[in-house]
Amino acid sequence: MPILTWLLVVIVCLGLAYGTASAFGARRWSGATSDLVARLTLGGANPAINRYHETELADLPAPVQHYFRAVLTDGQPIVTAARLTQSGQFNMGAMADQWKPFTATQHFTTARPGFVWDANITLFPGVPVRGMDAFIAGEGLLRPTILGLYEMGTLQGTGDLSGAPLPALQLLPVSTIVPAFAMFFIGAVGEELGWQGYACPALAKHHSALTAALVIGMVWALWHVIPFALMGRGAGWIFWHSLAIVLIRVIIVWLFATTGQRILIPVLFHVMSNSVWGLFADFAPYCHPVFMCLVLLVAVAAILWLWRPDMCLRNRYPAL
Amino acid sequence: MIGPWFRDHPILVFLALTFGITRSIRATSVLAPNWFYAQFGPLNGRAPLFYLMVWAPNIAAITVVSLTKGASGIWELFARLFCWSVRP
Repeated sequence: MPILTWLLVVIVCLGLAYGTASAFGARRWSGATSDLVARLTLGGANPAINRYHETELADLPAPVQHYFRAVLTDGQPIVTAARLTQSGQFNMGAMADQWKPFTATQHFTTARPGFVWDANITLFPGVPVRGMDAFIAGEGLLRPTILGLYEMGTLQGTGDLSGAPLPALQLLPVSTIVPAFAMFFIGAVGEELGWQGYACPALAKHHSALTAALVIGMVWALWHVIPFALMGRGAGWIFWHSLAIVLIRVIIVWLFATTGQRILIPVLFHVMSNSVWGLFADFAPYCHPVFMCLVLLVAVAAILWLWRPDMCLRNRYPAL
Repeated sequence: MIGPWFRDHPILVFLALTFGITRSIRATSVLAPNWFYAQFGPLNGRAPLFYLMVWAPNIAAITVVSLTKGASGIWELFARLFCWSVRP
């Protein structure tokens, strides 16, 4: 199959995956927002505090009391709930300014003070961050997500949640890194001798290296699904990580094809790939598979562009 | 020695062996967890069964190649690992 056809297939598949994820995420997010707003307004307004009384001003500073006495009439109804729509720039940077365009809807209640802030921030073109900031019945909630699907560290509780930082990025100690590297190396040899030493060349005997990479990549991803599920990963995380695994296999096949069909190079790449995850005590809050896929996709596109004959011609590599 | 179907579909046999080894170990750990963990301990990087699962693709490849190509095939498979020179 010509390279342009393959690229078209990949682009269409990615577009469908993105569209499905966006639609599903938007629907789920809308449901979650409605539930929170329903909780916020639960019980309705309290008639006892539905009207303004001058006695409420006693503890306020003098200029404020003066203002309210000027604009309010004793006994008049007061606002118990409000909905604001907002648009503008939101600062996403912790250390330096990173202003991103956003729109939001914020619901307030005064009878039981609380709010729900539902924001849509454009992190990158096509990558919206749906953010929820809420305070309901004395409990705070801060939930940033990508596409409304993939949570990037939810904070929830009754304490002070404001300004809570990401957990510190901790490297494992050197005494752990050496055995971990050995473990990754032994594991990678066991996997790559099978997937790359045997299966890919066997498939590439009748197909292109790219076809072999995609087929074995999908099988390889399927092989990882159950371990990921047993680790407690969600369906979204598994989907994107599986896509990343397929793209990693394309890179491994390219390394194999362009270095004289030696297994050692794929093994080292495999070790490096696993080490990125394994050598950090908790890497998950800092890297989502969606971003990993975007980076890998660029790398794979470059490989297919620059090494087209190696990847797309049939019968280039000797099978066992 | 081996049937024609096996010779004609070595990759399917490879995949069946790979998934068979890993999934049978995993299924045993899920279906009989008390017995499994008492016998083998947790399935982590210190457990021999963990490496049996991770090495399943290699075990499957060795099995298929030895049955289809014999010792020369095994030699060629491992030669791809131990040959360190690469094209610049």
